[in-house]
Amino acid sequence: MDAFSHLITGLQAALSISNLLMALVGALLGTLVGVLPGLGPTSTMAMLIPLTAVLSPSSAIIMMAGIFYGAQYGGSTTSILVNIPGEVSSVPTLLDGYPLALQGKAGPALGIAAIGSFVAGTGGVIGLTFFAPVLADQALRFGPPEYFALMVLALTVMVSVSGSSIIKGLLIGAFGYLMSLVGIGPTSGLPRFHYGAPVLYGGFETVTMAMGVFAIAEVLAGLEESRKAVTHHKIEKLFPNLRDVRQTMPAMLRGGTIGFLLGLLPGCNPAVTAFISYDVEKKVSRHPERFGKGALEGVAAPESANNATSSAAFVSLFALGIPASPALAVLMGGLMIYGLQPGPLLFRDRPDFVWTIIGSMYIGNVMLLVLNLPLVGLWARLTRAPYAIMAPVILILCLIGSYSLRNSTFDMGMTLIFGVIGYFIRKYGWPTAPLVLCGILGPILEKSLVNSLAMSAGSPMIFVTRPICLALLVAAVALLLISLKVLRKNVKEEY
Amino acid sequence: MRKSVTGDRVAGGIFILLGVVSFIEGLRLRPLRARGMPGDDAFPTLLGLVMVGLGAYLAIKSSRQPRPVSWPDRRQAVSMLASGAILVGYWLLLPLLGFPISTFMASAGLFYNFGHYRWHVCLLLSAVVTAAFHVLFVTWLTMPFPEGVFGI
Amino acid sequence: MKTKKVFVALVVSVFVAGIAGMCLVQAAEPAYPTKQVELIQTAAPGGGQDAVSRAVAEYVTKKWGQPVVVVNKPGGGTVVGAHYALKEAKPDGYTIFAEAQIPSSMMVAGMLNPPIKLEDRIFIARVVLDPICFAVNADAPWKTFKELSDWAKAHSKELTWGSTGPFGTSAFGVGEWLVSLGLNPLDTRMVVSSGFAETIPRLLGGHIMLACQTVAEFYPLVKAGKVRALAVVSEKRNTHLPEIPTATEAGVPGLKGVNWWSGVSAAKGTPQYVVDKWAKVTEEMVKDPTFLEKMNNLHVTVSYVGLNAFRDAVYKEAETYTMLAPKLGVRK
Repeated sequence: MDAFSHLITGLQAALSISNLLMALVGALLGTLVGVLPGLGPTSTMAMLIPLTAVLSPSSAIIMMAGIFYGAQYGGSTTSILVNIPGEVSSVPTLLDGYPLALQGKAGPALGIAAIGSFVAGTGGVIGLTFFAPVLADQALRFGPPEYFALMVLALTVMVSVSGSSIIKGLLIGAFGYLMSLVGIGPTSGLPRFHYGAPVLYGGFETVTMAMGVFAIAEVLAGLEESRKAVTHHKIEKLFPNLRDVRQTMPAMLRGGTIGFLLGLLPGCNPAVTAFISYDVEKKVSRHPERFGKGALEGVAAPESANNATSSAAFVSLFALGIPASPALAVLMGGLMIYGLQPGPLLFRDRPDFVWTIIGSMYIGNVMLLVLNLPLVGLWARLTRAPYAIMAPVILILCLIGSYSLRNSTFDMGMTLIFGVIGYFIRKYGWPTAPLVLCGILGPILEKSLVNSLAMSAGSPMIFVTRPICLALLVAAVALLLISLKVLRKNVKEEY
Repeated sequence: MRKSVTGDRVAGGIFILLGVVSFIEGLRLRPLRARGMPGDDAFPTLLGLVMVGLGAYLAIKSSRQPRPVSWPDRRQAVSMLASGAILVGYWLLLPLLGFPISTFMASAGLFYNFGHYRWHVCLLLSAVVTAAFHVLFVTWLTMPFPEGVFGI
Repeated sequence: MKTKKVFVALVVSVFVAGIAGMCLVQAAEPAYPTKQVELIQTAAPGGGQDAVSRAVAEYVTKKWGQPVVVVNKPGGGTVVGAHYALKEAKPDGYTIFAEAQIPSSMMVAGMLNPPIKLEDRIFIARVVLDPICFAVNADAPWKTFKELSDWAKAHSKELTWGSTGPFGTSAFGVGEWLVSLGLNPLDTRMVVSSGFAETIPRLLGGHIMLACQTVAEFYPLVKAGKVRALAVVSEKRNTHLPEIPTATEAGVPGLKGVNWWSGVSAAKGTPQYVVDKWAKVTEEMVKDPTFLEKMNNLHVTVSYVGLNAFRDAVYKEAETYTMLAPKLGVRK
């Protein structure tokens, strides 16, 4: 097989000392970036662009790629330990991860997250290796109507993450969506909800909202409860055992598949796939009521999905030269500085380069597993560390993180405001996850709808005459009905 | 019977208000429609209606037994407000004093607030944290922070 | 003696005049820069604008020995970054703005009340530009620009085309073309995206028929044969894609075209010596082989225009776009 022999060559090149070192640096930095709330791979990679002047192309790109998929490993750590997502894609992880930590089971949770990330991440790279061109072409069949249908399907996830009250979940989601509307409108190019202030033209970043509602509010709650440490339960297990792995393996595979397939679509980021796979896992489970209270599958599925998505993102980058997300746009910028244009040309003219990068992605995933698993014990013990020391560090980090998104002090202020809002949301027991979910999905939904109608000159028939779109919409309705049935079975409250 | 102002009622009211705000913005955007098709006004209008509708439903149908909500006692409340004030101060002073100084002051204040350590312990912890962050964000990641009046 | 006194007086006066002259010169030109300069970029990191600014920053840093750092402030259709650089920051020369067509000519053309106007800045220099290019899918039935134009005339209501923003580079480019054919752009189906990363998959997947992006953005896909470039709208053929005919050669004359460009400007009130220094260094930069090589890698065209000439060019552009804007349904 042509791809196979290329891969072997690539692996050999990736095993050179300098490339191994770069992969390690990338993996470490990526994990760190993932752990630190607010700081994301995009801003980190952008800050490291000047290094391209001193590093060779493969070294620089290996490191940047390592940061990109490494971040998906690190995000789960803070989600599980302190109920604060390191990345937006780790928000679903905290729904079950944090309850597990409170039960003293942070170790197994972290371990499963790491293993799932490895399995799905590597699976994704395998997909990239052997099927990139075919997959990329298939992904092109998704146009605006298909994206719209996919977003509708993703919105049905709201029911799953709304806790016990759909009405409250919907309202929180509506609020989250309202926040995402602030900024430039898709059709007119003119600002909405700006009330004359130029700084509001840029709107709010989802990460800012997530940091405020999850991190700041969480720490305030900790202060209120006079917490001494994250958990007072004795730490029962430090590592996952084989039974845990066997139990969650199907979840990992399902999450990985969903994450990979959806990740092929440019614009479908790890956060979206993590939510969807969490929801799917809950639906296929025989005991969905366990979710939200500490189900290991609830950690395995989203963590696998977000890693598979980060691998899949390279498919459209290498096969077509299309960056699937802002972080990959930075990576592409790095390539352009070297005069290397990603796309079909790169495979043809510089196969050595491309396959070295792909080879190093396998190695990077192994490194990340090796890095993260032994550290699980250390991280788990942090749940007993004094809150008085962790909390200030977390707070300062959040503010620095939100600043780093757009080099904007405005974002810092917004994090604080959302912190206050988040405090009151949690006080009254309202769900918080829909805020983030709708904040991400809303804009894509609107743009897709508007563009679909533009394509069809205003006719809504476009949604039913295209097969993929129709299939997704039918699936969305089906999933919604299943969700409502499951909810009715489990919840006694009226709404 | 006293009509209880439950949390749900208040929340319902807030959402009705937000819904109206959204709807009004939708109205403002209506004439800006390009090509006569639903444009930027569509979702604000729709969202406004949804929020008003659901908010009203919530306010009217709110649970008879409101969920007990505990508020922090005085000492905790003071602590929380102090944290908030320190963070707001950090936000506002960062452009003025620069990254190292403002981070040092903010973290010292927060360590005292959370842990009630003695002052010199707070300052020491704060110095360690500030140094670590400086190495991480400024030296390694070369993040461009605003230079304060002291030029650092 | 008298001559000796005159001689001494002369020497002293020359001496004094010399010192006074030196003081005057020094007072007129304080040392700049003495610390880090921020180059504010309104595009997100990783794109073409960002790459050009980073190359500029690198050259100027080397030349002046003080760091010039690119600070990305994306968002709000370039309003956030432009407002910060031109209105919020102190106009002391330590905050320079990476100028481009979107925060300048296109913004004032597309918005009736733009938050940033052309008068709010001092134009220093434009360094690179890139003309637009019309392209269709490689499987599309139109082989030449003329064929596409003829089809568009007959089927304008069915034409779907991608646009990066309702008054962005592609919108004005396609708008001008449609108007020149005697068509109403509002009859056609404009599909808005936030950048070429969204437009290109739609073109490749057959969801839109036509895309209008810069040469640099189309370059890899044209070379790989996935996209058929029908015409480049400029006077001469493009050096990076010489096989593509100009619009005139392809049978559609009279198009002025739209240029993507990148340059440098400063806030109103910035001292003149700062402006002059930047104008001079950028003029040297466009002759520097390292810079030229980097621009070549990016597939853009180096084209220097400074100070007043730059300002006039932008104002002229703004005039053209302002006339075109109402036909696109913007400028409300």
